[in-house]
Amino acid sequence: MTDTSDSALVARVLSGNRDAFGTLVERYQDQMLAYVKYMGFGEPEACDVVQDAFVRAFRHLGRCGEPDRFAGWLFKIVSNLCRTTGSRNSRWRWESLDPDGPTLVSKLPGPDEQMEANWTKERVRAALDTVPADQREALVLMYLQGHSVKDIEALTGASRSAIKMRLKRGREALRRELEPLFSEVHGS
Amino acid sequence: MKKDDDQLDEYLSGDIPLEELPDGLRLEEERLRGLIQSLGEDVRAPLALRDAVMREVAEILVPLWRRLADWSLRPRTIRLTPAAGALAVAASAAAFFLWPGSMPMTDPAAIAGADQVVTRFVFAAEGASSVHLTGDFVSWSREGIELEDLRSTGIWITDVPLAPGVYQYTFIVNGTEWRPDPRAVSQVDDGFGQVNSVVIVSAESEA
Amino acid sequence: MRLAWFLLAGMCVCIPRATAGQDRDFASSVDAVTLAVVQPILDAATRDSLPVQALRSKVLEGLAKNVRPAQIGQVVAALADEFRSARSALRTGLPPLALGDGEVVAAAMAARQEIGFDVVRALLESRPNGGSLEVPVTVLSELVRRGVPVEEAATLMTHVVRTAVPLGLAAQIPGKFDGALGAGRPPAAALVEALRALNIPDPPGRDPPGRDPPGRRPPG
Repeated sequence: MTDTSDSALVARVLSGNRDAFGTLVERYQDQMLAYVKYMGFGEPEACDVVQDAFVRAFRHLGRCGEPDRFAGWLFKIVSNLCRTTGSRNSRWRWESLDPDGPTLVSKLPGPDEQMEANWTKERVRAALDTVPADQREALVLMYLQGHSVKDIEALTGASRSAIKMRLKRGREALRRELEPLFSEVHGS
Repeated sequence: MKKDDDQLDEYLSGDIPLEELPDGLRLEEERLRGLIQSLGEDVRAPLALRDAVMREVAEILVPLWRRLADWSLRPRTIRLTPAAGALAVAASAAAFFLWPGSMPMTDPAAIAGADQVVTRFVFAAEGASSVHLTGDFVSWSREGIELEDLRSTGIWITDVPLAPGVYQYTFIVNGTEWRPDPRAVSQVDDGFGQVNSVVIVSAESEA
Repeated sequence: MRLAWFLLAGMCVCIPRATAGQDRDFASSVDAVTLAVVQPILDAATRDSLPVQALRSKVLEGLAKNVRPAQIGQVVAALADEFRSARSALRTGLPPLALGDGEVVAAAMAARQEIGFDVVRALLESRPNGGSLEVPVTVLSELVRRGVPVEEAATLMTHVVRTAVPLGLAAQIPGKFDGALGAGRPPAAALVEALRALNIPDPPGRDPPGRDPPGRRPPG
């Protein structure tokens, strides 16, 4: 059976097989796009950032020192791009994935469960958007992408103590923003 | 409260599982986790994204072996803040040669954009517990960019890819002290009674 | 020329979209009191095509430094006035769109060193084609701030721009100058040494150090 591990795919790309890079793109594009969106970029801009990141990864693939950690190496490219794109240009606000979904201000949750779920998501997104970027990044990596503090250390280069501080402050900030949701009773 | 904070710390570090948190904290963590993770299921990259990447990749005509050879032969510059002293250079060299495990997995120059210059910021602050860099390139965020004291030499360093231009910045030591960069090319009055440091970022080949 | 018009059309499409995003992001980062103080200044700056992003950055800087809203307003208003003066002076005689935000900012900073706008304008007019002169104008300011006479610094930077000296080298001139000064060289000699260290040829007609004091040129 063909080895489709990251390191095998990287090796194939470096030996001239560009299609193998397509597999890497498919494997990580959702995760990277999610990260970029959670960091506050709207849909079209997020796609641009992710596309740019993959193309840069391709150009510099020979510099990926540990191919079995391709995802972490790719993440650093994405994270750097988010930082520099966001700092130099407009930092786009989160836009609803559902353009017809309810807004925070104008609509109250109705009896429809899907509408209520969308409303909750909008509130969570808005709350996340108010959290400073470094704290948001730590929350996204841990809660949305399942990384441990140790993983986040390796991905971001920040110290363990800094990451834990960001997580704690980020949690506190979200807790304050989402206070009403903590007192509601929801089905699991 | 203090005990809760310690246990939260242990939980975040992965030393204890969720179930070992006190009831109140566990419920809060479960709720928060559920709320945040509710965002997770919707993100799917559009079908066109992969195609767009592969189209760009296909246009990279130069054989990869040649690009790797070209890259290895082309000198790379990490720019120090102007007039950076021998101490900073020596400390950087010591960190590079003596502590290979502390180096990033890949050279930041490799992942900076073609129009960006990896700019090194260095600040000497022996005994400091943290040093952050802030400036107009991070919208003056108080958290900014964290510097690293690689092996507790008191020399704090970070590399930042920046587009060519002129930037104002400063360092925040221990989270509270705003200090300009003594090695900067210039200091300017910020209008608020303090000074900002100035860095000029320019690509070598830019004319 | 056709390319320039094409780029202009592109900018007209992209800038409003980018501006709208910047507005939303900025407003969410600023408290209501400060926003009420600074928004009229920013609106006027937008109307006058000033470097609004630099003004927003100054607001965010003030907030980060815990400055009171009124003082932030004063500082931003003063900065906007500096930009306004610079832009107005520099656009005289220049074709449209030849002035970037970075250049306006750099020119305003140069004015703080008492470098006349006519000097900066002459430098801008000397550029071969396109490209921001934010860096050369900034280097000009830095040399003057270090005691190099305005005329000498301007002659040097005009030469740098006209002969397409890489700006990465030009940006290092102040630092090399500092090093030479620190080694005990007088300013004129320090500048020569800085240029030599960077392999930048002297501007034509420049006398070697010692023949004339800095700032004084021989007749003719």
